Amino acid sequence: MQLDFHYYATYCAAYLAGYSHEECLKICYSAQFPDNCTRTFLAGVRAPVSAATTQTAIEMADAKTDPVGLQDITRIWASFHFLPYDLNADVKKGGKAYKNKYRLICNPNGELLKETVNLVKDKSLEAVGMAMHILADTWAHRYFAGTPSVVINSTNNYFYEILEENGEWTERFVNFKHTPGEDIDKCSYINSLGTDSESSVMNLGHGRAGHLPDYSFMRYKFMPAWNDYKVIYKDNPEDYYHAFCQMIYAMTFLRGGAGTFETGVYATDIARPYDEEIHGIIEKRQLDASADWKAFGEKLSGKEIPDFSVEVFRTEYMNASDEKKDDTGLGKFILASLAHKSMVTNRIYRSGSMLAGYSLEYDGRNVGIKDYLKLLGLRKRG
Amino acid sequence: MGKLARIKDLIISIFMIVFAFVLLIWPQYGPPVIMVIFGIALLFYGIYSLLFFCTRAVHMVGGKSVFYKSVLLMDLGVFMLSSFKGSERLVMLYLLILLAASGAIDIVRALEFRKQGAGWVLRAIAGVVTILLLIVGFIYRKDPTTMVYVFCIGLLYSAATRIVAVFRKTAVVYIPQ
Repeated sequence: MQLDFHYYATYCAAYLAGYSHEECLKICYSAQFPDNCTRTFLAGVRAPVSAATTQTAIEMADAKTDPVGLQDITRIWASFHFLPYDLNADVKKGGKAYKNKYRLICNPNGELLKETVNLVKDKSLEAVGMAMHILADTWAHRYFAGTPSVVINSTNNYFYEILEENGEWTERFVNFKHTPGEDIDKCSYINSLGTDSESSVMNLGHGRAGHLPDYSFMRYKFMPAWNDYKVIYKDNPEDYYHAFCQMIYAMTFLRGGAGTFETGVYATDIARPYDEEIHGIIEKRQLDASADWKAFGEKLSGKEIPDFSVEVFRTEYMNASDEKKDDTGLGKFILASLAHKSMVTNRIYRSGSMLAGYSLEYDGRNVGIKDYLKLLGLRKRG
Repeated sequence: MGKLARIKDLIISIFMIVFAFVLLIWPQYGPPVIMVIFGIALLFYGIYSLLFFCTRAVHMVGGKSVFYKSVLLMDLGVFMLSSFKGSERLVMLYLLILLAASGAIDIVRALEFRKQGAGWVLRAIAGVVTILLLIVGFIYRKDPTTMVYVFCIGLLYSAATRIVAVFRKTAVVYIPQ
């Protein structure tokens, strides 16, 4: 997904879940921020770099592909953009290394999603926003894993867009290329370079499928490397609608619901009065739906939604004293991202996989990456 | 990183440093030795690719390409081992391409850091030094000892980064909330 859904659609979902305009802005800002919080950005504001939730293209080109480097990449992408569906999946083929990678394949409604949402209950609005990013991406990025892997994430040439033309459904071959500029009319889209190196970042996530998973209007079929030559049909409009309704349910729960967050529940009743408008935006063939979601959000709340800018977090954080940094928007986001990343790393480690690295339960001694000790403060806050 | 992996990396790093100094002292033995190392590396990478095909790529769509690549790599490795006195220029070209890529990435990263207000000077210096090495290597590309020096500098740098990684804390602390 991209800014149109993570920022503007999340604003709409938060508003429908009952949050005020000001609260919605905090949530949607932090729902978009996982796509902007790079090590380079964090180093620039002197913040803990372990809280990074994404990597720039040049950071990825610079990343080491030794085991430690790959673990760092996996921690970022599996935690925030490709949440694994089933870490104990019964895989009937391949050795342990293959099984571990297979188990990182992302899909909605997994146990980890439940933990992700329950972890931010009674936490900051920034934590809520971050969790909504992860939830939404489980729908868009399903069938791909957040770790470099040619045996899981690569695809072959079988790629067809399915679209309605003159009232009839047709299939059109997708022309992938590696140079800037996409053309919807010619079904011409960008994807990453093909390589059969298992540890190449070109085979990270949905790189080989380009941005197709990120466009809400897109319906396509393809043959992922892991699926025994069986075709998968991906219906983004359907998935994006589910993501929207699940976000409303999740935020209704986080705002004051009792019990625990359950998977497979969607607030379709709340969204129903706006179904025509929501489907209209989701299904419109356009590379960026920001303007439409923004107009819908402003119609709902009657208030203006400002454009997203990373400067909001940066300025507030840089102007705060050292003691007050954790109370800023970025400070709260950092605490939430560290808590989430350490939880996901722990679950992957406990499943018997070292793909995200070692996870050590804190026993009073500093034995791991120092940045994570900030979470002691978060636990004390409650 | 586990304790065994750390010890293994430390031992490999020490070997790399010792080897680099031996080549710096006796550069005349460098070219054939480097060629043999490249040949063995290619051969082992080919074997690794074959094993990778048998255990993982065999299950993937289009996995046969990995098999073909492994055969080609092993063939190239055997070729380099059998003609290690004649293809120094090929290795020199490979080293220069690596230097160009590494230097360019360092400089682009430094510019990115600078834009974001983070420390960028050390990264920029590393990039400039790499590009200077590339220029020197290109000027003296016909002199086999140049290849040895470029190789040794790369080896020392790689050993140093490995040693730094050995002592770095890598475990993620989990504090249940």
